[in-house]
Amino acid sequence: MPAIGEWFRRIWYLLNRGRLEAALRAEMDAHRAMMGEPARFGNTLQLREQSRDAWGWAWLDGVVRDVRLAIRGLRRTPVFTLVATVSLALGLALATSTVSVVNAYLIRSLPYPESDRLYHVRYAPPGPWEPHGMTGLDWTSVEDVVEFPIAASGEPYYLSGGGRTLSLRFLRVTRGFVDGLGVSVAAGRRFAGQDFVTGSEPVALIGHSLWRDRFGSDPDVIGRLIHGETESRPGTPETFRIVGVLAPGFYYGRDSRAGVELLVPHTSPVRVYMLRLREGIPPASAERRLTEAARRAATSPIPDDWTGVQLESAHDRWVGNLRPVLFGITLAVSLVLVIVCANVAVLMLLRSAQRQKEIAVRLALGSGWRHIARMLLTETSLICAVALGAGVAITALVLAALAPVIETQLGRPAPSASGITIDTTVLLIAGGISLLVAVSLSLAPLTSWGRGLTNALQQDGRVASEGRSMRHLRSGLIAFELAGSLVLLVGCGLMIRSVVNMMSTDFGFNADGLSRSRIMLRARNYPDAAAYRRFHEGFVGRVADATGSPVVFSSWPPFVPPPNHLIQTDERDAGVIAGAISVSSGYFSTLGIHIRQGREFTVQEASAEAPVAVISETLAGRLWPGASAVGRRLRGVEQTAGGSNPGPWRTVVGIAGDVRQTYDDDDLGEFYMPRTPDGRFGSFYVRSRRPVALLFDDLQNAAAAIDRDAVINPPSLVADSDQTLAGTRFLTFLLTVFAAIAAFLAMLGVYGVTAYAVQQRRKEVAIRMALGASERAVVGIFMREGALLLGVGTAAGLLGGAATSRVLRNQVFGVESFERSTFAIASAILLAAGFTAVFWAARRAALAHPVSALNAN
Amino acid sequence: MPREDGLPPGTLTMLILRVLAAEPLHGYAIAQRIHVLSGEELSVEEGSLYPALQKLLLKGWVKAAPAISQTGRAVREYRLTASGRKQLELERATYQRLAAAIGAVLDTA
Repeated sequence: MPAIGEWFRRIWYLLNRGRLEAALRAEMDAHRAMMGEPARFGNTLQLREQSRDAWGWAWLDGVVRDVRLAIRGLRRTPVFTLVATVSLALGLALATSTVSVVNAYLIRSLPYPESDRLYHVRYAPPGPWEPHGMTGLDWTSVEDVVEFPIAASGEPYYLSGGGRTLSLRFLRVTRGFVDGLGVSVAAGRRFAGQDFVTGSEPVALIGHSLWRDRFGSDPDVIGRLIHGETESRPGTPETFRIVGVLAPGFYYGRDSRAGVELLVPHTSPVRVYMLRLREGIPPASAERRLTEAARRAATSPIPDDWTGVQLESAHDRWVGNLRPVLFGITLAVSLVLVIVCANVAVLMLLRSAQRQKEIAVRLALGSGWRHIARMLLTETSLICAVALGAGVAITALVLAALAPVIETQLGRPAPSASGITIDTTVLLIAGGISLLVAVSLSLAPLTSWGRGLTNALQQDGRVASEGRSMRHLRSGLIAFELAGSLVLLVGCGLMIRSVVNMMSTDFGFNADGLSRSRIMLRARNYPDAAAYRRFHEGFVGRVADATGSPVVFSSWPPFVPPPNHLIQTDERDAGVIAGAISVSSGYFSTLGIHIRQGREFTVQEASAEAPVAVISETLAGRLWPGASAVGRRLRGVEQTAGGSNPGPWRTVVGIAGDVRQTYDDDDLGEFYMPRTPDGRFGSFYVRSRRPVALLFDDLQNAAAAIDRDAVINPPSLVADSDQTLAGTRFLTFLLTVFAAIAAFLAMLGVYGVTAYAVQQRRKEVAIRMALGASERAVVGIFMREGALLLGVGTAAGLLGGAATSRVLRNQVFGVESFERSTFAIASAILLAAGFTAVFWAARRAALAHPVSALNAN
Repeated sequence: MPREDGLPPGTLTMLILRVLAAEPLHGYAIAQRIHVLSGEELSVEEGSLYPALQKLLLKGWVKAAPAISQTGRAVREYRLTASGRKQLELERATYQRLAAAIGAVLDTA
């Protein structure tokens, strides 16, 4: 192990090579002159080289020499070099982008310290009721496995003072929350132990964005008081002293965009839903201990089939459902990358066939196979290195532009605060991939050379004839490319069909320009239900006057199945199940739901909650098959844990068109009741052409004109809440791009191979044509060979496609997994393009003049 | 592996260090000095001398500086450093112990 000083000297020598070499040369010249018998002084060049070797950079000289050689070799075939580099750069860019996304979601951890030890606690699976008394669970009894029990309860906090009332995302958190999630502050202080003691002064940490937007990043805000009230305790003002500002980007929950705006200590015990395990504690053993503790704490009888407390990794919970999509994308990208490599390999094979002579000469001159392999490896490494650099640069550009889009399309921001970026992990993985690519690409020509080489020199003047193994390898690669492209085409075809099916799905309402929002009122301003109702009716009127946009209330959002009621009629007690929704007057006309028969609710019916109902076509057909439902009587029975709760008998006044709540909603029975909200909350729809931000202002103004304390949530477009369509569209877009790249490369390969075959057989073709063969006959020769290649590739691709459609089964909508027409269209596209490529290449042979071809060599 | 000039491996370094211990010398002078001091028994080939000198430079045992030779030529003069002197003592001791041991075997066996 050389000393550090020696390494410094080595590096210094490396950096001053030129000067030192000159000095060495002068020194040797002097030596030689002093000796006076020059003949005895050996070969100075060799001596200098030996001396230089002592500096320890011999290997570097070797590398530099290899690289110089490789550059020279690559410059001799510029088209090959360009095509290979560009296609590898695109392939690697695709791979790097995918790795960045996968890294951001699946590899990188949540932005909390020791986040791999964070788990969500589930006291009971959905279904059997959770045992009561979990709030009183004794966490000190499991202290040896659980480091921090993390608990928080959130609700809106209405911040008053300074113009309009603001609704803040507000969390009451336990001590364990602060320690377990490593809550840190950008200014001020963190919570201390005494803050969690009942009776201490209420303190709060404010979110970084609130600090910036509401308080202009004023450092003096610390120590100030904020006034407001929470949603659960209306009419009870709560005041907190600000003691600090949360670090930027801090969030809790499932959406890193929705940061915490106000964090206060919880002074009373709450149910724990998250925890951090102690180091080295397996979750299974923690589950056993927690189950025992929960059994002790339970105040209600525990069902026999209780499965006990279960822990789910916080990271898994965040990204678990993205895994199939990301896995699918990774698979598709890997396929594209392999196709890119196959294509470059084919190009290398073609190039190496032309270099056989050069290689044979090198071997004859005494280069070993190792030298040849080293030369090839240097060439491919050089191409891969340039391609990797370009690929990473492209990825950086793509991510800079598209990272937010990708996050939206995946339906969830990346868990880490930095989002989708290229970090060390990504670079390492990308580097590893390109190394693998470089090595496997340099193997391709090596395997094909061998026996044929010795003949190469004997074949005077002509391009050496190639071995059979070489031809097979090449055809195999092309067939593989074709098969892979077909797989991607089939996948893309299935997805496109799926999107078309989704887009053409008639939801029964018109989402165009439709937004949804929510009103929250302060209880102390409203003595009774009628007062609330007056506000809501006034609000509807004002918005309509000011903007011309109708506003309607509804108890249920779209794209989510509504709660089921049991619908009973005079004639049958047993009843049928249908979704129950309360809506205000004008709901059907505003949402664009057709009234098939009868009429919709009037304003009076809505505000008086008149005993009338509108039912969907499907429900009408189910209850009164073949007869008109208008004028009949029915009632809805609410099914709750506490038992059934029958509503009043209602008369059907109208039949509405069916409304689909989700894409796979096959239960279209809906039951509508008239109602204008008479409480603090009202969810409403508004249809307007105005941009959402302006609409928000309109709505706030309309509300403030009636009640200054009214809080309006920012409206969101109903169409945007269609996550399923967005996700499918994204996947379709990606697969289409992949399939296009793959098919293009495959065609390039087919063309290249045919063109090469044509060139190889130029003489034969010329003789045939001189002897009177027609152009068609000549083209036919190559078409037959191409047909075999395309046939094998397509057959293999169809098998692969069948496998793909299984993988995609969960991502497609309304598409059979083995859809013949999709497979047929994809194969037809590929075959048509393939034959065009073959024909194009073959025709060039036929068009060449026989004499010039014969003279060419 | 025995060298062409008949020196056992590793000894050339020691010899160079030894002749430099007396005074700074340039390359040709080092070869000459060894040749003369060995009673013209040893002759150092240039092919060995210069790589060995490069190694000594890297190890930091000698330092090179431009100088003018007695014949008025621009040459590089090599000078022993402190660590070079230490190295010489070490190698000398090792060599002498080894030589004594070999001699003992040769004399008594």
